[in-house]
Amino acid sequence: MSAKSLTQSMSLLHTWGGLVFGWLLFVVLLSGSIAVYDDELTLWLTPEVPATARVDRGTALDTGAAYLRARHHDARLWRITLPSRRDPTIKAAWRSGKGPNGEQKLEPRSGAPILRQTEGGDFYLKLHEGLHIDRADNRIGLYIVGLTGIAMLVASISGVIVHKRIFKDLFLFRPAASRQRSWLDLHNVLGVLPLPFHVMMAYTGLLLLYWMFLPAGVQTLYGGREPPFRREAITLQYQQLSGAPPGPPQPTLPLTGFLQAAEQRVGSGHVAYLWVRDHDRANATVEAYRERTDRVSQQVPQIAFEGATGRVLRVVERRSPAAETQAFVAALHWLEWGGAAVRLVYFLAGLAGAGAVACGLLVFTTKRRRRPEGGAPWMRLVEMINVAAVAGCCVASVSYLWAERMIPVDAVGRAQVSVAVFFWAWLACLLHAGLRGGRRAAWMEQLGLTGALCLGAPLLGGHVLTHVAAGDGVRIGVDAGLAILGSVFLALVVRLARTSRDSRHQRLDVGAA
Amino acid sequence: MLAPLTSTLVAFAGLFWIAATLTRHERDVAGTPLSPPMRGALRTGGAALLAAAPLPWMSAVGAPMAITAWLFGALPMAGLAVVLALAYWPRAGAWLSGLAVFLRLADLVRAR
Repeated sequence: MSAKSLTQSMSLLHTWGGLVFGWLLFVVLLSGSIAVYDDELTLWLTPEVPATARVDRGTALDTGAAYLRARHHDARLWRITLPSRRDPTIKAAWRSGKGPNGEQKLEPRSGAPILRQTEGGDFYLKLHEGLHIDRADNRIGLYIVGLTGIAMLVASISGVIVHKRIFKDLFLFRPAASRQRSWLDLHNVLGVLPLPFHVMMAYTGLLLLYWMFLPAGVQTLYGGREPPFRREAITLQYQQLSGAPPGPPQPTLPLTGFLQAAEQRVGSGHVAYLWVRDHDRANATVEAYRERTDRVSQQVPQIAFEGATGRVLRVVERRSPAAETQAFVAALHWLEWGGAAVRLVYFLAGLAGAGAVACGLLVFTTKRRRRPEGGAPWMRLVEMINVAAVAGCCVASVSYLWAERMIPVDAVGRAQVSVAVFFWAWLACLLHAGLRGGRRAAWMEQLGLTGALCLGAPLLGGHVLTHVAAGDGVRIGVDAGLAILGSVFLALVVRLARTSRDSRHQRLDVGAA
Repeated sequence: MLAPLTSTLVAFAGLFWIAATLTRHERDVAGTPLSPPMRGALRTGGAALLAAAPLPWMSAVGAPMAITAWLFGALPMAGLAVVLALAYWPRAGAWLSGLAVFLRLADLVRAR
């Protein structure tokens, strides 16, 4: 195969694969970038929760246990998550053999349940991992996003081959050049500079679900049956719900004692949550898990105790090299480590990826506009979908925040309504793009709407004033982030308006000459 | 938050110096083509800055987290900042790179 034909075939792959998967990739990358701030957004969307929990960890644990004892005495598994730097609430979760599972957030100081129904920032996480199709019901969402991740790897590699000069022109952006040239420059710099990040995220994203995308191991070792594989390889919990019934009643020692014993091993203040199986039974076990904030690993030390005596049953500190490697790879994607600075650069690098996709889609259409196929019906369709997939997705993403802010806190089914608002807003943008013929006006209106919605969201209900008055750093951060993003969108619209006016003048000049 | 910022700024300076030696950009920054010794000095200096950039972050949170975050996150973001600076404000970019180096050196001297 000659070098030329390789470039040509890669070009074909990059162009058409990029077009079809670009539409999906944009929503995955945008929602993934937003999901970097899932806890912060949840906090922002639940104003009733205090910004920081200055509450003793032992007290918090007791609060969670008291709630579970009162409401879910019969549940066989409890999990109590202590307040963390990012999430000040106490989370009490329960699971029964057959009965319902659930989780309730508790106000850290009073222990009162937080009754607001909301997905909070988790909405973007669900959108990112499976287009918000509940993975317990149907795995099609995971598969679609997985396929999109593979397409992202393909596009990254073919892109490097197609745009041969990218490394020479690593820093090249010519805003004053022709429209097609500027979009291509932008596509290149946004795609190439963070290329290691994008490849890493696509790859690690796929490896998170290695048992789905590389099922050979599960097929061979477990006959294709996932539950035993999950029990042995993924869950790694000491206590698991087997068929065995709970033992006879016997009081479990106070949970705070287990917390102290565990923190002596993993460091003071470092236990993130405890699992309790069969509380107040002879066979009760308590297992403490370390937090993941200060190391790049998804697998953390865990210590299991016998509930009735406090005897240590098992300490897991190191795992097999394969498991440790997977834990590192998964942590690269999950980003529970590193704090605010790393969150910010992940957020920006993710947005750069979304921007690269958006510019690539624009290159596709601007390149063809002057060609014979420029006015073809299918090109109008592509332009229309481009607007909706990029600008419409931005409108819908902010609409979700507006819905969450505007639906009364006690409204029935409000969580589902907010999700529905996202999808209806997206559909409305598609219709709008269709009515506008997918042209520049559609772009400018939808990007302008996104900007206005971003700028307006902090003002809804006057919350931004409350945040400033309370000196609530995290929520002010979300307000400020929205204001900055809103300004960027509006600046983009102004710029688009100016260039379209310039090019019209240029055409007129040419006509006059 | 200060150590990550320092590491990102020093990465910006390193990338900016290297970018300023590229044929496409040298006129943007200096106004005239660079002399060969100047070009060599900027390239070497830029590479040295890049190599030294993760150090403040590493001393703050340890090598594994700092290198991962710097390589995947801070370095490309510094690169995009260089792109913006070269396209719109080349002189300001040069000043900022100088400031970054000065601040870093001042930091080192103070630490002694």
